[in-house]
Amino acid sequence: MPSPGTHQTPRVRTGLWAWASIALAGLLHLRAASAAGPEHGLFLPLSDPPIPPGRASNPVDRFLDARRVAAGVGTAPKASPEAWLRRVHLVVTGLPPTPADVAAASRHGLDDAARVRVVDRLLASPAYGERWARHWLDVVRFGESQGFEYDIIRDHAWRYRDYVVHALNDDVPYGRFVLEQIAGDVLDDATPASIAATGFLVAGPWDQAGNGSASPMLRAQVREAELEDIVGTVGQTFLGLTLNCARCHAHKFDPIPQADYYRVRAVFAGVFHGDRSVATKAEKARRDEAEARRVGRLREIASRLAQLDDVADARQGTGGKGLVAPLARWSFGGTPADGAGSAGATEVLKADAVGGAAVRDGRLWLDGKEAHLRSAPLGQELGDFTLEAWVALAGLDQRGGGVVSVETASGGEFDAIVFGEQQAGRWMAGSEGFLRTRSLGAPAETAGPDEWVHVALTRARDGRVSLYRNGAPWGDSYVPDGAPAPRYGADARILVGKRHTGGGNAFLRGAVDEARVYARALDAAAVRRSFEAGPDASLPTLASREAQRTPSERAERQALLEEQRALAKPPPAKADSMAYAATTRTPAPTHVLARGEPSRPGELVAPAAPGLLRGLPGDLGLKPDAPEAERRLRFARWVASPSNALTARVIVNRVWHHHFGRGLVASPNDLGTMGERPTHPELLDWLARWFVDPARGNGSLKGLHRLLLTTEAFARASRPVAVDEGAVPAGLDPATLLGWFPARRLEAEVVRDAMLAASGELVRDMGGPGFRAFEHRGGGGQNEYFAADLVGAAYARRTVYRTCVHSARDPMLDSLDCPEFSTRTPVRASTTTPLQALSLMNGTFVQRQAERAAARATAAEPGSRERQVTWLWMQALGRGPSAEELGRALSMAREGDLADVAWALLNANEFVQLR
Amino acid sequence: MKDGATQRGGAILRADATGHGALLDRRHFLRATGSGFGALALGWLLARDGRATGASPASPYAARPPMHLPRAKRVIHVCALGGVSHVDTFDHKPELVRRHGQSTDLKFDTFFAQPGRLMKSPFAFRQRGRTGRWVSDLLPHLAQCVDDLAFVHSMKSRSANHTPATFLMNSGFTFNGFPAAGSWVSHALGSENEDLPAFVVLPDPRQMPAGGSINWTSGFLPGTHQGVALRAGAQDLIPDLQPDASLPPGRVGLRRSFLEGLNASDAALHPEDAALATRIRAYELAGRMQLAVPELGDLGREDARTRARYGLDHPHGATAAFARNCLLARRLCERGVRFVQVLNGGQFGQPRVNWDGHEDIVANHRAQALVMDQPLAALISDLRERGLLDETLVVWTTEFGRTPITQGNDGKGRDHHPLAFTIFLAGAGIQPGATHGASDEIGYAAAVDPVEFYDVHATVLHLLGLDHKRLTFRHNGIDRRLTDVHGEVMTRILKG
Repeated sequence: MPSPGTHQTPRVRTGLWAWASIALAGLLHLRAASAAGPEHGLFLPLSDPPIPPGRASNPVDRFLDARRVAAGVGTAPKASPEAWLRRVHLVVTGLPPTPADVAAASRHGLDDAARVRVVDRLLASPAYGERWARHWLDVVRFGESQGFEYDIIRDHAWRYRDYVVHALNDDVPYGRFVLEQIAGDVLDDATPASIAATGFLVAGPWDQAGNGSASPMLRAQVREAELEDIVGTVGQTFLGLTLNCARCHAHKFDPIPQADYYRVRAVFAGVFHGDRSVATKAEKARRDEAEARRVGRLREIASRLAQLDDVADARQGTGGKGLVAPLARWSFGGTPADGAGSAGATEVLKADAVGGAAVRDGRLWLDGKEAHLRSAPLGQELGDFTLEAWVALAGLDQRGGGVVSVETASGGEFDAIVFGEQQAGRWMAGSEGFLRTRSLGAPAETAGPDEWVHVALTRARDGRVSLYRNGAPWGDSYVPDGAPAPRYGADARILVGKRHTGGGNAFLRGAVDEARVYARALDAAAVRRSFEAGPDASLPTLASREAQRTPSERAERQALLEEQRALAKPPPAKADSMAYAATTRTPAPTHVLARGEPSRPGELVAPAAPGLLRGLPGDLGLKPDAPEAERRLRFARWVASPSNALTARVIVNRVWHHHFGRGLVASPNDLGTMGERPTHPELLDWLARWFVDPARGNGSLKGLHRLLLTTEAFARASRPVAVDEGAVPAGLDPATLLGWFPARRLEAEVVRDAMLAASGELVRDMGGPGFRAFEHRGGGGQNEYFAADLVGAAYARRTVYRTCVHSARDPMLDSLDCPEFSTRTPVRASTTTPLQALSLMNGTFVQRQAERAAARATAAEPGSRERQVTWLWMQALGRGPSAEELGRALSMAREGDLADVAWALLNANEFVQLR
Repeated sequence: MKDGATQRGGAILRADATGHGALLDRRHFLRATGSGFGALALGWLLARDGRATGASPASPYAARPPMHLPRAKRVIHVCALGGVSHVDTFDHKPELVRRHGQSTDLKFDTFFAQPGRLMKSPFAFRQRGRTGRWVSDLLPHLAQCVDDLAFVHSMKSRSANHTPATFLMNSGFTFNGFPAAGSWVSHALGSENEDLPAFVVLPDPRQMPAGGSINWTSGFLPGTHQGVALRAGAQDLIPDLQPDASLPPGRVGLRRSFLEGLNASDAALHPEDAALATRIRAYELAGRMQLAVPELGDLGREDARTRARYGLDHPHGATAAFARNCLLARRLCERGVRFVQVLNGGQFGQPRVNWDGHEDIVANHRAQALVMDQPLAALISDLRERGLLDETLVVWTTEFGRTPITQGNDGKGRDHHPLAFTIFLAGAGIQPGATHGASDEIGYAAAVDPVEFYDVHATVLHLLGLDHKRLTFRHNGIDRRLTDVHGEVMTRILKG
């Protein structure tokens, strides 16, 4: 915003007198003027002021002219084509015109039709969204790190920034823009973009240490601060209301009772910070459905394969007994090292008896110390399975030994028949960390040391775990909830006598007569048959089974196996696109808190909007326990309603502010009693009405820009004119009458972008993760960021793509008043300090751009120093040099270097000013 | 009153978004139009500011008048980060010795929620100096300064969590983004030396504090008032202080004069542009800063006694580095810088580089005391001997204390304790040897006259000649204060 002095012509005494009296009146009476009371004009419905009569074709000019003429303030002449061109480029896109554009405007001039074409072209350029997104990001305190002590970077926060850029470029109607940012995740027609839009709600800091504290009171305080940040931002951004002032007591100036704060708080009580998928419900449903189809088909295949096996087995001699071919079987007739070591000679899976395990008398003898049998890798995947053994326990007081186990290569995951591990004297299904271990409710084992016990463990395709003893179900079977069961790959192994590798108390004391592993979960009948057939039964083998198959069965089986392999792995987990955005939980009840303290809850309140707008009740028809989504949806519709006068006034005022440097209300985040009085109240309402009217503005921000950019006021020179003090109302700054275009300092981002544009280094890649112009030391809970001038295309993008880390401040951008990211900043400060001067004079970034700009000028205009200098002037200042400037620059370039000329231009006052 | 307007001294100054602009613009007009212009209004304002004679725009750091007669011209704020245990340093608790090892039913507001048993201080306490204040053997050098200090034994904080508590200590709010006390003071008073920033921060060379530069943000105040962190160990204390060394000095001069010519011809074309005069002035000041900052950082002229006293050559590197910062703090004061913040301690991790003695209070606090004790004591006594302590307020704070119980039953460390802790003040306007408040017999609660950082801030502003209730800044519809809606001046420790 310009200072009042900017608009004076010191030589005109009368004008200055006017300014002085206005200033003094303003100084002394502003407070009195703000005591508007409950009937504060901006809380009333939009008025319908007639367009004042006048000469101008643009109604906006008519309103401006009426007030200006009444105050006796004249107008500056039309700005030169070059001046207008630079102004409109910088205002709309934040980038300067090219020397070619400048030269053309200078040669041919720009008539009104040409100017409209320029405006339309600029509004259609993607640079428009980048420029105006930055204005919006200031207001919504957009940060890309947590702040507080860890200040961890939010890797996915950029999606909200991209949302804003695209929404502006696509000219999303403002009402929709509001809806998406408050409730874009719960709209019926939610899109990935609208989900990312809720990044708005959680763009503020988040106290990770506080949220993770063991102290519930500390966590509650942190949560209240979080919600105050959300409520405050919603209120100020869309409504121009400082709702957050009513957290501890009724608002001191606006009619906002304390309960109204808590009603709005209740609207957002279910909103939490976090990364979330931007996949929409429909997308998720589609994906879930596909996954269900895949899993279902796998089950069908497995079931048909088992059926085919049964058919084949039935043709074998043993098949009549309903016995199943095992994957591996050890009967300990020979030595385990020879493979099956089995009298029955079924399947061969090499295994070693280790740790002193002895194979004697057809049994495996286990000493409970180290002795066990360990197989070679399975060589095939194991989905559902059965572990089975005949075992004699050497003592019922032993703890934790495994009879038969299957474990992953590392032993980190396993399933086993274990004895006395979690519960003394009892059989259970063992697993890593007891993840799939549950109490069976079965009796304790009673068998003596010489008594053979048959035990079997099955895990079915649905994860169901069943234990059997002596052919009968032993206790309750169960499907363990929680983490999915491991898939045993081809490198998994079988253990006998050892629970798993890496565990304590893993060894069994006793003897094993027979151990088997089946690649299917036997059902209860099959287990019973197996028990009844006994350890020495002759079983079908995989080889004999193959022999029984018909050719067509074999072909079918082959096809099924191939399909199974193809479906086995889920489709390459197309990772969801993530955004740092609103994540939701069922909201806890909201109570009014005495003095804002979570330890002092009072009255229970229902979610609602504030009740201060005449003609628009705040009641949303919600109960205190209303569903989370419904709260935000109804509130968002209330805010976005065309009859919400505040919403319309606030946005047209913000747009006005960025065109003319100062809003019609100079406090864009506060249109309440404590805010500034509007300089043109009728114009404000007319614009707001025009904007929401479906037949006119229809919520189109681009339409509003076009309306304002094509005013005569926007086209005037920035030179102030004489002012007749007698006619100017007390307290009015004549610059606000827009008889001339108020000059102002460009924002930090525009200065940096314009330097990159001058050097030709500017990389116009849009969107995606931002560039991180700092060195990051540490990680996790300890992060330090040090600003650095990093060189390369990745760092030469527009400044809006800088990753906004709270504690990674850039000295140059800071010195040009880049706001604190966590502060809602509707109006940028504009300071001029020695640190800014040092940064622009000596910073390596500026040095580099100056040198490259000079090189670029040399390349663009080879052979003519004069044209090179002119090119630089047009690039940096949007105009050609005067004869005197040209002369001095040429002599400068002779004594020094063309880069010195470029350096001076990038440091010039004119370069950083918008005129 | 609009956003960005500041109420001071009962009058409302018309500031604008430039923040410091009010004064600059008035001055600009005076220069541009001569003394006959706007006589009453501007003359009155400028006379009140006492700055009606300048011929060019003031430095953004230019001194501005206080609201009432100040006792202190400037402040050195030493922050011991991590949470210094009051019961092991300055708050002697014989009752803890008697009840050592006992359990307690008291409710604690700690971070890890693992309450253990009462633990006596492992450090011996003695009465020191003429005033007989108790200080433990942990801080033998500071113990020799006690007669200069005024202790506040009844401090409370609003968070048991480092960063919110540190933010509260620095800005009066537990959330990110509120202006630091130094920014408020810079905004209100500027500096006595236009060639240096008004608010200078000396971070611990070992590590940045938790939250980094958020701790010295100017928040919604104009960026001019952001703390300027001097870089330890770098060639230049301030980034971009000098032109690229590869640039021939002749060209540096050429550039500057060519730029001046450019701006001068612009000024001729645009006499209305007040920003231009300010910019020209800023470049002049930058030139002066290029001379002032290296001179400031040149510790070579300090005599051997001073070097030894601060510990500039201390064998422990962290101590020597902190000594350097303490000496720089004195030099900044000598040069009229308004608010100097010296940080002792960094953030987290292992080994700890701050006072966060969760695991072992002896090992942790000994290591930190080794860094802080000697240089800080040297700073206080050096200021006294040079007569600077009469006009310089020294404030030593930590974000909270530590529990009189162990963290965990078998623990040797202490957890965060916001319910009671100790800070001290010294120098301008402070009654040496005074105390404010007391904690209970075991250091659990601030039992007598409890105070908070709001009260500390109110006292600091008061001594600088500012009324904390009238120093406001309108931001988004709220008249913000450093002290929020709280704060009482701690008169017990003030000189009569």
